[in-house]
Amino acid sequence: MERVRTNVERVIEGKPEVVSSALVVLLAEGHLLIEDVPGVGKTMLSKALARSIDSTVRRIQFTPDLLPSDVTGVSVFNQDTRQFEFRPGGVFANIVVGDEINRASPKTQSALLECMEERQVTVDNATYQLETPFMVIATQNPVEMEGTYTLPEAQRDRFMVRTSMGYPVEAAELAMIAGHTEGNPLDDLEHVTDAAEIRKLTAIVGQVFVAEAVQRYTVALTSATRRTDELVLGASPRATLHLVRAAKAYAALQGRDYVLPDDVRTLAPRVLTHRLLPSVEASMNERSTDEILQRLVATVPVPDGTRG
Amino acid sequence: MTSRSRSSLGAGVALSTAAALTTWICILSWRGFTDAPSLFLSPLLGLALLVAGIGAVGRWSRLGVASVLLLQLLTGAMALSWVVVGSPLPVGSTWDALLVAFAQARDGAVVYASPVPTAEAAVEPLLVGGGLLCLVLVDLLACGLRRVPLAGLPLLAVYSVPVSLLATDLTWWVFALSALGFVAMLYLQESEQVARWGRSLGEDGPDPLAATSGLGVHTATVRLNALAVGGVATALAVVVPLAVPTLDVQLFDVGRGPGGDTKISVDNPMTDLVRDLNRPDDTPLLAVRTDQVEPEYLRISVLNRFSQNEWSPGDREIPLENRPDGDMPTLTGVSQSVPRRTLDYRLEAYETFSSRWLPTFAPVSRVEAAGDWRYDESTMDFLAGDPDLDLTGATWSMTAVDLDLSAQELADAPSSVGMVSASYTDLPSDMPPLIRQLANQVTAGAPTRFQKAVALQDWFREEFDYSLRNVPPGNGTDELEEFLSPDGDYARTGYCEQFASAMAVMARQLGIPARVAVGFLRPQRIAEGVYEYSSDDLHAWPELFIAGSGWVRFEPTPPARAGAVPAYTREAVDLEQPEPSGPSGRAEDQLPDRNGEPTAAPDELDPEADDEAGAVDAGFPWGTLLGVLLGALALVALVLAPRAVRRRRREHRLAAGPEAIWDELRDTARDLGLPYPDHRSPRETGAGLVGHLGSPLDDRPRPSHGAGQAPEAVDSLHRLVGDVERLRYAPVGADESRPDRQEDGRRVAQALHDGATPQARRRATWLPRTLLRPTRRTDVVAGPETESLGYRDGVVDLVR
Repeated sequence: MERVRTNVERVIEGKPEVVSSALVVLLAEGHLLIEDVPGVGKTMLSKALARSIDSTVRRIQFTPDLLPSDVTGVSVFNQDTRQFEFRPGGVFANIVVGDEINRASPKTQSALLECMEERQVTVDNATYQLETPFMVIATQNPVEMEGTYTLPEAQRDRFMVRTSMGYPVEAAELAMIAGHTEGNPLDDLEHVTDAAEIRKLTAIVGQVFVAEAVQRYTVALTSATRRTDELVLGASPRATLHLVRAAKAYAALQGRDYVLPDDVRTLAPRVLTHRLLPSVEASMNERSTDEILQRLVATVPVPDGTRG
Repeated sequence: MTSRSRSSLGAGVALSTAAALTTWICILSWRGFTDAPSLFLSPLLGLALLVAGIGAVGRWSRLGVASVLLLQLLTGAMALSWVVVGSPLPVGSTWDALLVAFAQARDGAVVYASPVPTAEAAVEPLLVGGGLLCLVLVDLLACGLRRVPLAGLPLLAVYSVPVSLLATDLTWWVFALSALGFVAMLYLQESEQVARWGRSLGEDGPDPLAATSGLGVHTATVRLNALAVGGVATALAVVVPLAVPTLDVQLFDVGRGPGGDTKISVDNPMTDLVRDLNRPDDTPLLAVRTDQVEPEYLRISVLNRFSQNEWSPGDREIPLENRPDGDMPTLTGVSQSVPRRTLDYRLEAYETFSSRWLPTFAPVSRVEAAGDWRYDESTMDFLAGDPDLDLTGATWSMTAVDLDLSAQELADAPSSVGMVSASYTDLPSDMPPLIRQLANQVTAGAPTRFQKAVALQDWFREEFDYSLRNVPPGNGTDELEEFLSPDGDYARTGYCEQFASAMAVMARQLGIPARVAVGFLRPQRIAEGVYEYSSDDLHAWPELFIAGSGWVRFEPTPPARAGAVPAYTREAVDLEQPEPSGPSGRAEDQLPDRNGEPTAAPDELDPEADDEAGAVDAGFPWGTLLGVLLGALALVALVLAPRAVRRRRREHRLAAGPEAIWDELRDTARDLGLPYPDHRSPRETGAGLVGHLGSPLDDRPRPSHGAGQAPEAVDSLHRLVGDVERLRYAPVGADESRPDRQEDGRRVAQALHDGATPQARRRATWLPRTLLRPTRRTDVVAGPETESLGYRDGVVDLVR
């Protein structure tokens, strides 16, 4: 995994946190939502990650006129065989890069999101299993931008982690000029691993131990988001699952076979923020969900009890 | 729910019982009120348990404070009625009987002095009733309102009542037991409080804390600490006052003179004498201006009647014309042949001196005083004729006659029969035989009345010890027998009151007319020719009538108090005299010389002799020394205890597993006053602690601290964090034991110490915060509403 990380970081400079988020999501079999203004390297990150793994990669550019069948695939009548045959859509790959997902119509969006959750595509009564690993890396522009459709809460909830790139620091930007003006740095990237190895790794992640105290802590965190007055929508049970799963992957990435409360705490903002809706009062006080969540994390006590 | 209720019932019963028993123990100090204390103590014990039981059960069943109080009062009143008149329902005739019983008790308490003879007057109803009120009050404060410290006030009041009303010493074990009881109440209350805070929010949560006993403080160490602190405090309270001379201070002077202020009142001279001599402070009372070298024996009053109970001034019937407005009658019984001279005095009473008697030097030949003072011709003491007349602030002048008595003439004196009233030899009919026996025995070798008197005086001065302490006040026949008996409880120890009374009684026994004079012994010189008498100078001495010489003063009080005896008692008498007697001379020259003290500094003798009299008599004060030593030892132990306890705990923890070491680091940080976050993960906490680590080489007042200062300790800390994390969060069996873990813990603790300011270090060493305010471990995270999420069904466990 370290190789993947260094590989990706050759392209995306100065953003280790974003890269680690991406790897966590990959190992936790979740999906990644990258939200930021255009031009900060969202697509580059997805591509670099995809390129590092020797697997099938599809990229779907979401536009307002994209149809659901473009995503899932379509049955076409074959004149020669006189039969309908299935033409797989964009999702039939190990890594699907959904670029600017919020520019497509909600109908198309939901077609993708169904695939994300079910990991299968059903067209004309035939169900097609998607490959494993299967990961969707969706990028989106902030909702205020022109020509965007807001991703509904239910769909945001399906992404395990939302992260944003942010502008690079000056040094990283300078280095970028040097690297990116001569040619496409993606061309130099080599595969450092393959889908089989990723499958093995995800199996290992599944076996990471989560102590009861950590489980309690996770639940305490998510339920705290439901109780606070500053949020109208708290984290769903799915969020709890995602958080634990991400924490397991994070622990595995650190070389540990057990999860620490610190893992949960570190990941909580990335996993939970995009699922929360601030209350009217909180919005008026200009308190972002991020701040609210940080405060909650600071108040929920970490269980210091031993196991059992 | 059941377990919780049961626990609070147990705690309630414990606290109520402790409160009731402590009150009862306090009431034990009332034993002195009657001669059969069990008559009121046993019913009160039953009442104590009744009040405690009703209180505990009432509060447990969530009755209001007022209801419980009402219930206790009602039941208590019924029990009281049952105890007093044998029926719990005071209606009709029972009510009348109850009223009668209480009225009798009140009358008995008014008429009789303590201890009240139970056969004469049953004062138990009053005591039981008062005790019941105290029980209910303490129960209300301690258990009902949960203000245990406040409950100390009624307890103190209960304890102080006998201090102020009875002149007996306090029993130390009653105090110690009461104090321990009070400490126990505090302990129960506080520990229950802690337990209440510590309960888990979830009623049926897996936390077993709620199901434990009412004692919320669970660790044995904490309980031990509480026990140690309470025990040491009580021991100190008992031991330390032994070394402090103010144990005898009377807290409330109710009923005996004007309480509160330092005004000294002389109404009944003898009883007031006792109290004033026992005063911790020496109050100046009176100034005398005279040409005499040192005016001694200023007489306030004469006690001429001896009844079974006491010496008293008797009934005086004084003619209106006996005013101190000039020359006085000629001296009674003094032969014209006795050489004499006159001495003039001007006296002034201070505002602090309140007296119904006008002090004079005896014998007196002239007095001029303003106000309605009257003199009694037979005693020649001056009593206020007007009930409102008081000596306070008065000035008067007088002339005294200084008789130059000679021992020879005194010894040769004829019988005095018929010269003075026969009442001066009156004795109660049932005098103890011991007194007569001793009087005869002591004076066996003395042929004349005067020599008998001298023999008595010398016997007292040589065979007896002077002490103001541990001597029961009183001069009745019983007290005197006790005083004279060589093997009594107060074997031959007493102060001027006993000496003067005993000698006067024995003289009467021998047929010599005798009376007791009360006044001042010796003044303090404050200027040339001006002398001052103070409360410590109060004294009593016997006067015996010798024909031809009148009323002759003797001094039986031992040298520890009264330095010298009258000159004439040492002349021409070849009985054992420690000092060679000087040539007979005038009294004013002789007296100071015999004292062996320079006349210029007689004032040094008095206060010291007074204050230290008890100690001097007992020889070297071993008891005091032992008390001081024990007190100092206890103090040292108290000072050293926190450090020792903390150290032992540290060693114990460092030798145990990672969790114990982690707890030790937490306590170390808290001892040093460092911020230690509650309920944070080990890693977070460790990251916080790293910033406080310091280098051992840094001994500046404000050592710099941070990760760079102690790299080794940082590594150790990280290892420890890893250990704790593995232990807490890794699968079972993942924690490995490391041999250097203890060393790691020690290193980090040391680095934390090194990073703190010297002040914080000292505080942490000598007065560790964690000992004073131990932290309870809370293993329970505030419970979320997990049921609705199906958390218990293991949603999280499904994650694979």
